[in-house]
Amino acid sequence: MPKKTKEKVEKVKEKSTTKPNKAKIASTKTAKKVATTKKVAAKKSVVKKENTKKESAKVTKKSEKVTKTPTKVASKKATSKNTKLTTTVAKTKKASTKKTTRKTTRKPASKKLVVASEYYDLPNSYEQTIVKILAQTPTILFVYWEISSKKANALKEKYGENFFEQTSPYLLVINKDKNYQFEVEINDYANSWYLHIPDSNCNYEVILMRKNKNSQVIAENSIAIMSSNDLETPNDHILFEKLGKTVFFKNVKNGTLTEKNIANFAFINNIGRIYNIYNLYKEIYKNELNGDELGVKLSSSQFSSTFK
Amino acid sequence: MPNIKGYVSFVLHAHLPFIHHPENETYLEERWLYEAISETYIPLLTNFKKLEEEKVDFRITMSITPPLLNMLDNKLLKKRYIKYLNAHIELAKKEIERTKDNKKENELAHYYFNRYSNDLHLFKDVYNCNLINQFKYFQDIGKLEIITCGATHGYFPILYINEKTIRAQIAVGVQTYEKYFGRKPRGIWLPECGYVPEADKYLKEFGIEYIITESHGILYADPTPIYGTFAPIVSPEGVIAFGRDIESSRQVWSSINGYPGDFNYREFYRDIGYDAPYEYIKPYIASNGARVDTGIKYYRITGKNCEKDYYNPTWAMDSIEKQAGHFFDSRVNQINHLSPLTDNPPIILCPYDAELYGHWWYEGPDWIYILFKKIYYDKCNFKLITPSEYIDKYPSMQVCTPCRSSWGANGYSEVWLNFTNDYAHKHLHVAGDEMVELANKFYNETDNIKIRALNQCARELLLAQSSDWLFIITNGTMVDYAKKRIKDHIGRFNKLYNSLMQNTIDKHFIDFLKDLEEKDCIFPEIDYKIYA
Repeated sequence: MPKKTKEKVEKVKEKSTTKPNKAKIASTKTAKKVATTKKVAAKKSVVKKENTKKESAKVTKKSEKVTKTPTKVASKKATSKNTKLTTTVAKTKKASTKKTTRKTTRKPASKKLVVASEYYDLPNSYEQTIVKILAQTPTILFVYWEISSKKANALKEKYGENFFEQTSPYLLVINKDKNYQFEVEINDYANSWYLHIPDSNCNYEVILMRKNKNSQVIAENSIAIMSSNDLETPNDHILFEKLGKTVFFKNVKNGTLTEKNIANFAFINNIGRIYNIYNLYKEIYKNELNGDELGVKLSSSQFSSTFK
Repeated sequence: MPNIKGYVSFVLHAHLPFIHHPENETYLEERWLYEAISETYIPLLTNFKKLEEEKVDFRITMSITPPLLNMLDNKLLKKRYIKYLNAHIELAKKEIERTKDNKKENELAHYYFNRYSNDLHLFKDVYNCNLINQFKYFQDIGKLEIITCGATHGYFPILYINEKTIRAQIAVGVQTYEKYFGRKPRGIWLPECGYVPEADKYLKEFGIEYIITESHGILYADPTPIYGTFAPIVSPEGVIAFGRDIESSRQVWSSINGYPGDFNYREFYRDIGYDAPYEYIKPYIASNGARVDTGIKYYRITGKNCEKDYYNPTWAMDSIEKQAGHFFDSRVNQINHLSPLTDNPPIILCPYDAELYGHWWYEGPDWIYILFKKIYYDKCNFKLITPSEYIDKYPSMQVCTPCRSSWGANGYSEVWLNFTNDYAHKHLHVAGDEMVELANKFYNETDNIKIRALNQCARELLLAQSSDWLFIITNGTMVDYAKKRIKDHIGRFNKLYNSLMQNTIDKHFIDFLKDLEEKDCIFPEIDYKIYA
């Protein structure tokens, strides 16, 4: 009985991870994309340099804690996570991680109340193959991933026992709106990364890939493991360039839509005067406002910390 | 009758995370609620009452979040608040004795004794231990508009990769509002003003008309709003967005020269919890002996890097009046400048954390009272308004998609997603996916224990999603507590999930469930099917 139940649970887990199919698609997709990678790589190095500069300038403005370039910090973090991982493995085996809880619940009931010894650690793994991306800022993505042991075994079965030694991981970052992509090398100790992206206000997808180190053993140049969710990054500037000659107004009570011509002088003048106010603020409050192009943001959270 | 050329809309966001520890009375974090009641909620209600009695027509909007409503409605926390007040009255009494040789301190000791005694009287005898009804009263007479918030203040720009989890945040937020206020909310305070267009369809589904965004939520919208933040916009899905005004925000929020920094105002950081002799103050500080704030503070800000002078309520009142006048004049000028530029009279939206008023800025609630009186009596070019009233008066607005944004530092998601707290997101996302899985798998469940367990799963997930834990970790204040809360709720969720999926429901499980239902008792009427 317990075994069957376990199998069922595993099945449900596999069902919930609908991405493997997508990964297959991604691998066929990337065959084409990889061809363009060389060009992108050249672009990428420029992008990287620019970003590192931008970041170091930004970073000093931002929180004191963020004082390193993302790649560096990410790798540092990766190693610290890794050490954490090794130290917590033993712990989590005892504690109630997902898997272990399953096991412990099957043990004969002890007389002690569960509630009396409530202690939890976050599970190390969910046995899922996932890649998720989030936007930290308009130009920094956070990506985290996990490869299930089942998926890892399947890869070993297909490409050989030393698949992970013969290949190195990287992230393929795809800007779907501007139609470019670039690669970011990662390492096998990391399970998350911060990525600089050149363009805000665009749709991105990230694919976890592995690059072949030895073509004599594995035929393919690169193998897609899993692709992420699609993500639209925030906009970070006033979109004057997208403002046409007309704008639409809606009456929210009766639903009527009216077109307003804003191409005449009076309108342009008024819009200019309204947006000049923001430039004026920027000038007056330059010591207090920071951030992006307009610098209109006041960080409220400094004060919302009064209790927390 | 003065010529009204524009409107000013005050929005106060009242929120605290759900902190409820029936198992132990020593959690310092539970005091946040008691401090907020004494320093913010009661002073606000007292000033609203004064304005009403003086027949001053005023308008203000408040978001009272679902966790706060649940805590204000919690019997145990109400009982503990009374205990907190009694301890403070006792301490103030002792202070009257201890400071008898120091006239200035002694006057203040009397002031605190009266203040805490009055709080006790109001809370028990006047409010009947029910603050929610007091706020509801002001809504019912048309002075206050109360809006809702995400169920547990979950941050949408990170949660939305599983949209059903933000749908549930909205749904439970609306349900909780209806339970306490007997009607549907017209507006919502998006947790941390975190806006993503993907939430619009769910906001519409649950009848939400408007949201509040940070300034650049409007200014960086697509297409560019021609009136900037001085008029609301409507998204293609039909959700109306009001943007924060920069100038009025700065006057209050600014850490450099905002109003709360006036030298006559009470100094937040000097408290007898730190200043009084240790053995004397020990019964009133943390149970582990750590010195903490008691709320009894004798000094004023005085100046920068100088010896602190005693607090003088009369001087503080002078500053309140001066600053209310300054704010008033600034809005008059702002509206005079803006009104020729907009079709409809401009709206200046001034959103703040409610707890800034009173807790951080001790004199804040009195400043609101003086300002509102001034706006009413002095003939000026603007009136106070709520966002709903503005929509009803001026329903025509530009169609734009607001920008993905938040009101956290730098305007996006850095506060809730950075090197200190990014480890949590995977667990929150997985638990969200699993909750959806449970809701679908057990949609037609009839077993009462399983239904209870499923509902508890929903509570644990919602509690884990609270943006407060991520914020606290970033802020570096009560980090251990915040991390533990994430671990506990995810751990409890996982345990329930596993038992449900494996059908291992036994006596231990039922005991465990009962314990959780008592501890994490938020949203007693929740229905897990909201995730299906």
